Amino acid sequence: MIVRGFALCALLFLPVTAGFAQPKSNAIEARLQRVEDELAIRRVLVDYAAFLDGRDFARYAALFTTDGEWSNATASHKGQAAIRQMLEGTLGKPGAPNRANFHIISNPQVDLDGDHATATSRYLFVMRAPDGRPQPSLAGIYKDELVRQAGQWKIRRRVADDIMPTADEWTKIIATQAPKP
Amino acid sequence: MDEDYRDAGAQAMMQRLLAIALSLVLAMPAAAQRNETVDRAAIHALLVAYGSTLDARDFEGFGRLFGKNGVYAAGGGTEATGAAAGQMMRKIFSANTLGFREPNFHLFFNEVVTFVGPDRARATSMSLYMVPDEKNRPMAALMARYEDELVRTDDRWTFARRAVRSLIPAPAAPPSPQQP
Repeated sequence: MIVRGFALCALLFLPVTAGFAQPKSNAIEARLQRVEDELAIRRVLVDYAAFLDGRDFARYAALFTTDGEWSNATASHKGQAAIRQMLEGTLGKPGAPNRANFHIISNPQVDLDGDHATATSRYLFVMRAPDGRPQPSLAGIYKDELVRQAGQWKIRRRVADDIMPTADEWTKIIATQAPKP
Repeated sequence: MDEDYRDAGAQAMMQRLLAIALSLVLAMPAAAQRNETVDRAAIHALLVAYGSTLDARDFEGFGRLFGKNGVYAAGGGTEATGAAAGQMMRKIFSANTLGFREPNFHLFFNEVVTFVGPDRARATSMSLYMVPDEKNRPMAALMARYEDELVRTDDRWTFARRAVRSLIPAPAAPPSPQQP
């Protein structure tokens, strides 16, 4: 009798799920996909800073598409190889220990459109002051175009917009200091 | 014989109702959990929009974050409701009594969101207000904590109440009753 009852429940359950749950399930899946996409893109934004500060140039370059572009007010580098070369030219050997500076990434805003997305985030570049204190030194906005390739979100184009100080001012400052990103 | 059929029919009906109830109960937690992730993303966007609208001096957009009845308690007893919050901030930024240089911006961190119902949530978060120093380097001029009550109306999350607590500079201590 109990077995028959469970079997009946199972039979009754099928029409309920087939009739009502399927469309809702699809809607939930779509919403969940958007959230997963946003989380994955936010991870890209954080990985960018972590790989840069950790001098992991290979993984940094791999965040971009093969034809990805990094640019700011003074330079543009297109393709993973060129982006990696930019880092090596500016920061030296990959994997070198770095206790001199780091990036804080904040205020991520992600807008999704299927397999494409745009994002903006704030960066605050903090340097070690002569007395060892963390000194906020450069602030700006990253403006990104991203694309999903083989299930992975990649940066197709990143524009680093230095705001405080301006790109010109920053160029003069770093000309008097040790190399930095 | 008829009674047997009636009993069997009633039993089948009961089992059907139980099965439907069971299926609904089983379906709810997963749906609720997945909705929460969507809501968390929407609330994060709201908290960031607070800063991006102010930083862009988009005071109408800022006011819309408070819906019709949301209260913005900016500290020091200053409050505004709904769109008036934007008008209040337009005046505050225009007056610039602290003499902040531009451009300046909000930097947010330590965001914690808890849900108190399907359409209600609370949040706390903190910010640094970054302004250029005399060399145009970013300098943290203010630090604040936000205490939020959030509400979903017409599928949109807005502030039902946002209270700003100044941390740095610390608010002036109330006069001690021991002192004259």
